[in-house]
Amino acid sequence: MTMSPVSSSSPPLTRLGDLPPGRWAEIVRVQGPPQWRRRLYALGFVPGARVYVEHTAPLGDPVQYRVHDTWLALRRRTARQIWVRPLAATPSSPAEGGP
Amino acid sequence: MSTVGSTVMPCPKCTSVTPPSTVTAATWTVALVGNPNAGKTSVFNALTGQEQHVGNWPGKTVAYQEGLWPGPGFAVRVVDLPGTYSLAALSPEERLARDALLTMPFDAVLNVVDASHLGRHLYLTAEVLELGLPTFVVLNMWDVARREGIRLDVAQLEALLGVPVVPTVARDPRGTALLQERLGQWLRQGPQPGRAPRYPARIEQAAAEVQALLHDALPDLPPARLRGLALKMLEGQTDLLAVLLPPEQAAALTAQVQARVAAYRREWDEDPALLVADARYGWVQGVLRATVTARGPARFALSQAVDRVVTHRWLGLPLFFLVMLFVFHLVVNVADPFITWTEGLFQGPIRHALLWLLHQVHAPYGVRALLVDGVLAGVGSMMTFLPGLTLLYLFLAWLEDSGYMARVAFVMDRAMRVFGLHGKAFLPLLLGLGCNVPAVYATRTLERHRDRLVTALVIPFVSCSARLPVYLIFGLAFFGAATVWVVWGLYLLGLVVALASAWVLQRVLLPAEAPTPFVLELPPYHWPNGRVIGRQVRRRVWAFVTQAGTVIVGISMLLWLLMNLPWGVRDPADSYFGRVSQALAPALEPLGFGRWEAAGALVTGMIAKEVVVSTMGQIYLGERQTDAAALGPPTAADWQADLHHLGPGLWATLRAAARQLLGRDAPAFVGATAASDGRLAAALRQNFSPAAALAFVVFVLLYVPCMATLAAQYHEFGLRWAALGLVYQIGVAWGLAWVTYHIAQGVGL
Repeated sequence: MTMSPVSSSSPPLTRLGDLPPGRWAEIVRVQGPPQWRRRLYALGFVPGARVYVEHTAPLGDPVQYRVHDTWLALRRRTARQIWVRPLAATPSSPAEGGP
Repeated sequence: MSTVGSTVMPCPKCTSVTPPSTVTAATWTVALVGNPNAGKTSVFNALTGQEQHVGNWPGKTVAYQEGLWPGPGFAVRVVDLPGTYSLAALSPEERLARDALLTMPFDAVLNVVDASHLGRHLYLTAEVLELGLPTFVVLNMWDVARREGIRLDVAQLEALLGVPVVPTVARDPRGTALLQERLGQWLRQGPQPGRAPRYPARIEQAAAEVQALLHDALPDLPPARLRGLALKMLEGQTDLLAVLLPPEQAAALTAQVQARVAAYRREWDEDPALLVADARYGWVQGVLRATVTARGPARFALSQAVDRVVTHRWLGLPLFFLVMLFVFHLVVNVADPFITWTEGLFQGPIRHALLWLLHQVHAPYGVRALLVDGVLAGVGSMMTFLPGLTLLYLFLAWLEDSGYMARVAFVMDRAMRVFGLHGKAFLPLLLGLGCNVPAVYATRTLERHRDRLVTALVIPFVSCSARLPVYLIFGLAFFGAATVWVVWGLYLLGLVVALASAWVLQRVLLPAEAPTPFVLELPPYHWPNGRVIGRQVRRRVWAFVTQAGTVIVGISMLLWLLMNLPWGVRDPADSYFGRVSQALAPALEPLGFGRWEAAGALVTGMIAKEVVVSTMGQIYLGERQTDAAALGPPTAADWQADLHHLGPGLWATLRAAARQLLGRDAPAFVGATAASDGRLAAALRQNFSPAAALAFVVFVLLYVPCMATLAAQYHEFGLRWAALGLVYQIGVAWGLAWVTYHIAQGVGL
C-alpha cells in the first residue's frame, strides 16, 4: 500500500476528519496500525463506502458520521486517519447507502 | 428456574447435571448474537420470560445472560452473547462472542438483526454464516422498518442466506408468536447451516490455501468451518488458533499462516483484512439489491431533528447539564424520603416484629442482640440503598433505551478523554456525588470492560453526600466560617484525585491495550418500552440484593461482633474492635491522629461515612446506641408508632418525594446536614490539632468509601479488583492526608 494520498483523478483527497458537516465523501483509504484499521473496516469504513458528515459535538469533538446507514461518532484524530474523496452535494442518501 | 448454575459452561443436552425442575431439561442450546442495538435483549426476554440469570464466563469478566425457553414439548437454553458489530475479536466482548461460537457446542445460532439497518447488521450475519453454524435470522424491528417505508422480499432473503428469516417485533408481546413457532419447528427438524457467502476469486483462493494449511491440525472440523477460520486468519486474527489448539501447535501454525498472509499482502499490494471486510460489505450490498424492493425517504428526519437540538453547539451543553441535574436530583433528593422511610421501617415495624418473635421463643439476650443489632441492622442498611438504586436504574434504562445515553457520551467525550476516560464515564462520576453505590452500577453503560473498571475504581474518590456531615462537624469545630471553603476544597480534591487516578490507571497501571479507535454508535431515538425497562430494573435490583447485599450484611455483622466481643465487654476500648483500632493507630501517627478513637471511627466509617460522626460521639461522649431495655418486647406504644409509619408515614413519604420532584423542598443533602453538636466539637478540639483535623477529613474523603461501594465493586469486577481498589484508596488517602498534615503544620495551623 503506497502512502501517497493523492490519486490521479480529481477532486483531491482529503482527510475525513477535516471535512466540514453537511458533506458527502467516498472513502479511499484507511491508515493506522493493523488492529486499528480492522476495527474501522468491520464498522463499515471501507474504501468505496460513502460517508456523510452529520455534525460536531458541542466541544468540537467527536464528529458524527453516517456510514452504511448507521450513525457512528469518531474522534477527530481517528477520522483524520481516513482519506476520502469529497463528493458533490447530494440531496439525501446516495445510491449505495444501503436501506 | 434455570437448569444450570451460572458458572457452569453451557452444554447441550446435559440432563445429568440438571436439578429436577418444573419444565423439561434443555433439549437444545442456542447462542443469541447480534449488534448492540439490534434488540437482542428484547428477543431474549420475549423467549425466556422470567427464566433467566446473569453469569460470568469461567475466568472471564464479561457477563453473559442465559435463560430457558420452555417451548411446547421441549426446552431451549438460550445463551445471550455480548452484543458485537463483528467477530473481529478486537475487544474482550467480541473475542468472547467469537470464542464461544467456535468452542461451545451450540446446536444453533440465533442471529438478531435490525430490519431497518440491514446494511450494517448483515455484516455480522455474513461472519456467522462463514463459520458454518446452523443459523436462524430474527428480522427484528420489523415495525420500524415498515414505518420507514422499507419493503423486503423475505422469501428471497431466506433463499440467499439459506436459513430461516422471521420478521419480528420483539418489543411487542404479540410480535414474537411467529418467531417462537418457526424457531421451534426449525429446531425440531434438525437445524442446518446456511449458505456461506462467496467472495471474489482471489480471496476464495487465498482462503482455500490457508484452509489447506489448517486442515491437518484440525481434521475434525467440517470444510465450511475451516474456510471460515481461514478467512479470519486472512483478516489477521492471530489469536484465533490458540482457542482451538494446544499452545505450541497453535503458535507454530499461526506463524506458518501469517507468513502466507504476508505473502498475499505483498502480492496484492493491499491489506488482506481490508479485502475480506470489503468482500463482506460487497456481499451485503448484493443481498440488499436482491431483496429490498422499496425504501422510504427521509428516514433520519426525526432523530436528526432531535440531535440538532440536544447536540447543538450552544444549546447542547446546557440541555445536557439539565438532564444530568435531573438524574442527580432524582437519585439523591427524590429518593431521600424513601430512604428515611425504609430506615424507619427496619428500626420500627420489622425490628419490633422480630423482637416480639424472639420474646415469644424466650431467646437469650445474646441471640436477641446479635439478630437485632447485628443481622437486622445490616439488612436494614442494605435496604436503604434500594430506593435510590431503583430510581437510578429506572432512569438509566430509560436513557439507554431511548438512545440519549449515547449522546451523553458524544457531548462529554472531549472533556473526559483528557483523563483517558470514555465520554460515557461522565454520568457515573456525577452520580458519585450523590452515592457511590449506584455510581458503580452506572458504569454498566460503558461498553468496554477496561473503561468500566477504571471508572468504577475512581468513583470512590468522588465525595458522596454521606461524607458531608463529617466535613461539617470537623469544619465547624475547627474552622468556623471558613468551613465552606474546606468543604468546597474537599469536593474539588476528590474530583481531582478521581480524574488523576483514572489517568494513572489507564496510562500506567493497566497493561497497555492495542489502540482501538473510539467509535460510538448513535442509534436513532425511539420511545422506550415500559415492559423492557421494568424487567431490566427488576433484574438489576434483585442482583444487587442477592449479590452486593449479602456482602453488606456479612461485613456489618462482623463489625458488630468485633464491637461486642469478648462477650459482655462494657468499655469499647476493651472490645476486639478497640484492640484492632489500637493496633491500627500507630499507622495513623504520621498523619497527626494516631489515636485508637480516630482509628476506630474510621473502621466503623466503612459501614457508611456518616457513621464516623456517631462513633466519635459514642467513644468521646460515652453514648451507647442500644441498651438491654431496648431489646425487650415491643410495647403498645411501639406498635402504634409502627402502624402510623406504615400508613400515614408512607403517605407523607410519597408526598415528600413528590415535593422533592417538583423542587418545592430544600435539597435533601442540605437538609441531612447534621447540626453541629457543641459537646462533640469541644471533645474534638481537645483530641485533634487543626492540622490533624484537616488531615483527618482528607483521609475520610479518600479512604474506603463504604462497604456497600466495595460490595458493588466486588459484584461487578470480582474480588481481585475490589481488593486492589481498597489498597489503592487507602494508600492515596494516607499519602494525601500526610501531605495535608505537613502543609497545614507548615502554614501554622
